[in-house]
Amino acid sequence: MALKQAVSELQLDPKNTVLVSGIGCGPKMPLWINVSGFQSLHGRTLPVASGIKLANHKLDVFATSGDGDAYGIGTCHFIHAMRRNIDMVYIVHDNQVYGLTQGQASPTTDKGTHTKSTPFGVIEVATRPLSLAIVSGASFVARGFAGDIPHLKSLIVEAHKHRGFALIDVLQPCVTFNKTNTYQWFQERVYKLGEDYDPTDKMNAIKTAQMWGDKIPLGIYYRENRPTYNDELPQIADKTLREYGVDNIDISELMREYS
Amino acid sequence: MTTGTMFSRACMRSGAYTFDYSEYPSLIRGGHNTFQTRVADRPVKSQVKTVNLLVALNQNAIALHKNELAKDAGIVFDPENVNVDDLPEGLNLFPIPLTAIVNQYKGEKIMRNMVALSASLALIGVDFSIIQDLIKESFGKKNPDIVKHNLNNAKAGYEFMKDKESSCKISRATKNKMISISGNESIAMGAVKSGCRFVSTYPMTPSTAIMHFFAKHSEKMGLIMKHTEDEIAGILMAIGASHAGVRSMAATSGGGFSLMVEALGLAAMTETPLVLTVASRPGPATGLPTWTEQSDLRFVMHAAQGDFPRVILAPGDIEESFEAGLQAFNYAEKYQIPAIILTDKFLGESYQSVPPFKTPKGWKIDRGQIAQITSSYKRYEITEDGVSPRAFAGDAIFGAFSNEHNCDGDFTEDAEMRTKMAEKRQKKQIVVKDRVRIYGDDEADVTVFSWGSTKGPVLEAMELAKKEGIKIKLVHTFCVLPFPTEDIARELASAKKAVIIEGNIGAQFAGVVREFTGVEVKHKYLKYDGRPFYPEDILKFIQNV
Repeated sequence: MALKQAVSELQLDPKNTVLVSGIGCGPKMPLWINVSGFQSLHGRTLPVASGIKLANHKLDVFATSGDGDAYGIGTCHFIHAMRRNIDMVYIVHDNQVYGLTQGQASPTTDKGTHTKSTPFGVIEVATRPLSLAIVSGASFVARGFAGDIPHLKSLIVEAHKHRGFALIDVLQPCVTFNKTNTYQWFQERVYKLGEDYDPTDKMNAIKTAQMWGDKIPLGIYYRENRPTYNDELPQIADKTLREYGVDNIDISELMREYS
Repeated sequence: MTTGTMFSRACMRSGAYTFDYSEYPSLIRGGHNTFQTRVADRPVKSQVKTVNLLVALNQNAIALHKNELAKDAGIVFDPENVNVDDLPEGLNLFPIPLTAIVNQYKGEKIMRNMVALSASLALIGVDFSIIQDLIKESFGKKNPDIVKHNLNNAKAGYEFMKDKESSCKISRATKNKMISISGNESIAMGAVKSGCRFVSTYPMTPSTAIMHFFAKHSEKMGLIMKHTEDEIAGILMAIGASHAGVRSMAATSGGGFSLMVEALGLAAMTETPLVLTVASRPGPATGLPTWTEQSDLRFVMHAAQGDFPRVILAPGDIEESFEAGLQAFNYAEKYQIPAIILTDKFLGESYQSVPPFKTPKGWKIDRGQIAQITSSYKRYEITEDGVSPRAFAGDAIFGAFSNEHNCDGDFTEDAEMRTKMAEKRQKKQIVVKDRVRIYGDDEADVTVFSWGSTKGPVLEAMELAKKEGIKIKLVHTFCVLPFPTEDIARELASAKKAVIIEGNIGAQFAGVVREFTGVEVKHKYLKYDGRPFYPEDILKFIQNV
C-alpha cells in the first residue's frame, strides 16, 4: 500500500519501473501493483535487480523480499549489494517468521521464541539487519512500520530520491504465524527518530540499529552520499549498456592482440 | 604474454602453424609447469607425445620428460643447474650458461626464461627482429629499462646459439596473417561479436580467461564484466541484464555450474534468454582443478528443476569455439531458452594459430521475436511455435515469474493453464545447423564418434593412421542438444566399426547415443586421468579394435 502511494507520489512511469521480488510472503507484491515485475528465486532478489540496473540504469528499480529471503538465504547477496551501492530501493518485509512454509523461525526471530521449527525456543540470537546493513556499506538505511503507512510511504519516497542502495526494513506483523510480535506489540514500542538525530553519524547509527526490545526506532537511521556503482563505470556515462545495441561490432582490433 | 606464448607467437609470425598445450599444478606459484608448442608446416589441432626440442630450466624437466624425447631431440639447458649425463646417446645437447648471461646484464633470475626463449628460437632459425618486436609489444607499457634488459638478454641468448647446428628448423609454410588464440578467448570473441555486453561470474579454473577478456575490453568496447560474490549471483545478474535487453553470459566450471543450477531453471521458467559457458575439469568436488575432463556432459544436459528445452554446443576446436560464442546468443534469444557452451580445460586453455575469425556467410544477429507493444500485450501468449514475442524491461508493463504463470505473466496454479504453459515451453522446434561434422574417408575401416575437445586429437590420429594404411572417419558432434539423432543413427548404420572416444569414466556420450538411437557402441576409449587425448594413443586404440 505504502509503495503504491509512493509510486504515485513520485509520479514514476509504471513502464519504466521494475519491481524485483524473491519468494515468500512479501514477494507476491508485483502482483498487486501496476509496474513491471520480475519474480526471482528464494533469496535471489538483489542479483537480478542489480543486473537489470547495470543493463539499463534509466529504469527505476525496486526490490522486495521477506526477512528469510533477505537476511537468511540471501545474506551473501545482501551484504555485497550494499558494498556496491547500485542505485535501487530494497524493501524488506520483516515479520520475524517464515510464513509461506507455515511458521518456522527466521533470522530476525528473537532468541527463545517458540515456532514450529523451534518447539523448545530459538537458540541463536536474532540478526540486527540494520546494523549489518550499515557496516556492510549501505548508503541509506531506514526502518518503517506497516502500522504507519504515511510514514512508511515518506521513507520510500526518501529512499527513491537517494542515489545509491537504499534499504527499508519494514516491521510487518504476520497475523497468521507470529503471535508474539503483533501490531499491538510494535505499537507499544516503536517511536520516530527525532529532528535531533543525525543520520550521517555512522557510529551512532550502528548503535541505534542495535536497539530492539522496549524501544524500537523508526525513520532514517543512516545516510551517506557516495558515487553509485554505475557512476564508476565510464562506459555507461553517456548511454546505457542496452543502448549500445548489438549491431556492427568490430572485433578486428581485439584480434590484433593475438597476432 | 608468457614466455611460452612468445615462443609460439614468434614461430607463427615466422610462417609456421602452431598449437600450444600447457600443464600446471593447482598452486599459486611453483610446481612443475610445462608449455608445449607444436610447430608444423600444416594446421595442427593437438599436442603430441614426442618432444623434439626440450628447454629444461631445471633437473625436474629432464627427469619428467626424458621418456618423451625424440631419438635426435635437442635439449637447451644450463649445465650449472641441469645434469644430462644419464641421457641416452644420439640427443643433441645445447648447453648455454643462462645464469651467467643474466648476471652479466645484471638481470633478475627470471630473465633466464628470456635467454632460453631467444636461444631456442635461434636454434630453429627464427629471425631476431621477430623476437625484438615481441619483447617491445610485451613489455613496452612497462619501464623502458625492462624492455632494454630483456632485449639485451634475448640478444645474448640468440647470439650464443645462432650458429649451432640443429635438426629442427622452422617451416615458413604460410604468408597469411594468423592469430594464436585459446578456446576460451575464442568463445569470448564470438560472444562480443554477437553483441554480448554483459558477463557476470565468479573466477573458476579453467573458465577464468573469459571473465578476464571481458574485463580487459569493457571500457573500450562498451561491456560490463561483474565479478560477483558467487556463481549464484553471477548467473542471476546475467538473467537480470538479459531481461533488460542486453545479451548476457556467465562462464564457469562444473563446480560453479552446480551453484548456478537453480537459476538455470529460473531462466527457463521466465523464458529469459541466457548463455552459459561451462569449461569442465575433472570432478567430483574440487577434483583436479587445472586438468581436463569431459565428465559434465550429462550434468549440463539435465541440470535444474523441472523439464525444459535447452541448446548445448560442444565446440571441438578454436574455430568452433568462436562459432559457439557467435551462435549461442541467437539460439538463446530466438527460442528464449538457456544455451550452454560446453568446453573443457584442454580446449579452453590451449592455443592454436588460425586465420583471423570471420563470421560465416549469411550470419546475422537474430534476436527472435520482439513484441510490438499494445495495451493487449501478453508476455507469455500461447503461440503455435511456443515462442511468445518478447518485451524488455522498460518497454512494457509485464510480469516475469518464477512461479508458474498465465499468459499475462501472473501467478497461477490452475491445472489447465499449467499444462498449456509446460507444453508451450516444450514444443519449441529448436533448429541448430550443422550439429554433426564429418571428416575423413567414407570408406573408412573405423568410424570414430566424438564430441567436444576430442576432435583435435582424433583428426591428428587420422593423419597418423594414413601412414599406417588405416582409414578413419570422424563423426564429431558439435551440438549435443537438440541431439542429432538422424545423423548419428545413419553414421552408426553405415560404420564398418564404430568407436566412441570421450574423456570421462562413465561413457556419458555413449549413453546419450544409446538413448537416442538405441545403438550400443561396444568399442569405447575412455580417459579420465586429467590429461587430454594424444593422437598416438588414439591410433594405438584403433589398431587394437
